[in-house]
Amino acid sequence: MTCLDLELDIGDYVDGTLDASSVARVESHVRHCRSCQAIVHDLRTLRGATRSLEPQIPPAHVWPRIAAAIEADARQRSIRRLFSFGPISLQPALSTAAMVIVLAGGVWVSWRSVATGDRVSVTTSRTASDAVAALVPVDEQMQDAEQHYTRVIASLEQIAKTERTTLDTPVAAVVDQNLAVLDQAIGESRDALQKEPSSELAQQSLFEALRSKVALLQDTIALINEMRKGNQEGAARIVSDMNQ
Amino acid sequence: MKAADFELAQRCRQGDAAAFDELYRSHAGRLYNLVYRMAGAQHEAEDLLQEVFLQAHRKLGSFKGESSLGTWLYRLAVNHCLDFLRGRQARMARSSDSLDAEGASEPAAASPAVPTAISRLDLERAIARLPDGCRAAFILHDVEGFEHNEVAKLLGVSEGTSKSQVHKARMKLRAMLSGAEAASVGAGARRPGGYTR
Repeated sequence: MTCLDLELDIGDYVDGTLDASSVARVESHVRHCRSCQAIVHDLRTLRGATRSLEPQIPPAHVWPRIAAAIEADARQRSIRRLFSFGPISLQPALSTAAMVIVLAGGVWVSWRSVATGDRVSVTTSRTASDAVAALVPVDEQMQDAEQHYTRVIASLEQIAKTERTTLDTPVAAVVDQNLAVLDQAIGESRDALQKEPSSELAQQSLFEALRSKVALLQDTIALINEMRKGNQEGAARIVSDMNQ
Repeated sequence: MKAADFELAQRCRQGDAAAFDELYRSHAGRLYNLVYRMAGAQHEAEDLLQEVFLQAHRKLGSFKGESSLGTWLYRLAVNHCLDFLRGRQARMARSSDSLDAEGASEPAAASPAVPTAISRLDLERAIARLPDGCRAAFILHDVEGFEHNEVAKLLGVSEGTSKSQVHKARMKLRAMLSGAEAASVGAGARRPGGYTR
């Protein structure tokens, strides 16, 4: 019986998972082998130290990052679904119309309900970052967020305007139509807020419209890149980066 | 399966941000513990944790409730860690010797070599320097407390392979924590996974 023969058994011996006959065999060898005695000693020390390792705690900044990534991911997936009906230059008119309806529909419901005073809740689903944002006082959040959206929208509009010649005419028309719908929704939401500044529904509606406009502009730029490179994954990553 | 798990998964699937927050608060600690030690570096652990929760977000629709949500997430994390380690191994194989060559056990010292009081920091650093292959088995068995048959299932290897990988890791740790190498472990000169003989 050599040390090598007992190599794995020594591990089980230290763990206490060896059957009785094997224990006797290992102990019989270890009694006369200084090298294996040293291994048993060290593995026991190591085992005790490993068991006393403290748990690692995820740093506080990790969750907001994950929440933002999940929101971006959800958006990317919805973009893929939206543009998953073949080469853009060959889109039929019906598909184009469908894009208008899908993109504009959620927002339309929101601002119409504000404008008419209906108590219909906003149907757009909440996202992970809403939970983070909810920690900030509402008034402060309103002002900061609106300013932020306005700045982002201005930057994105500038880029999209410069690069829009890359878009096919029907796609450019779809984008314009959607932007017009969103601008109308933003305008009506702001009007509703002026009349009733404390209306949560109006606030929600305004931010949904602003958020949708940012998303649409981001998607437009991503789409431009996609059309240039023929790389859908790359475009999706760019949308994610911009969002973060 | 607990009804609470099913309900939480359902709410997450419906895009309920508060539900996903709850999912994170409930399971991030255990998952981070795993990915931190699998990756061996904090920034990589954070990236891995993010990817695990992103995967969870995408795949919650496939959660059938055959196991608890915690177990489902844990398996997702293990698989993600293994993919990460395989990728890293493949990258490093091009620039170094095999990290996990068979028969790469450490020479046995004739007398106890590991100090009786091992500092946690030294041990964490030594674990981070283990070759990726045997580190996974070691972490699952010695740190996370799984039995060899469970480790074998998680890693998709035989029970014997699990045992030999754990043994290899222990012997490497022994060598690293022995007097001769302890100083270099403390210095943390090599990147995680970059340990070669």
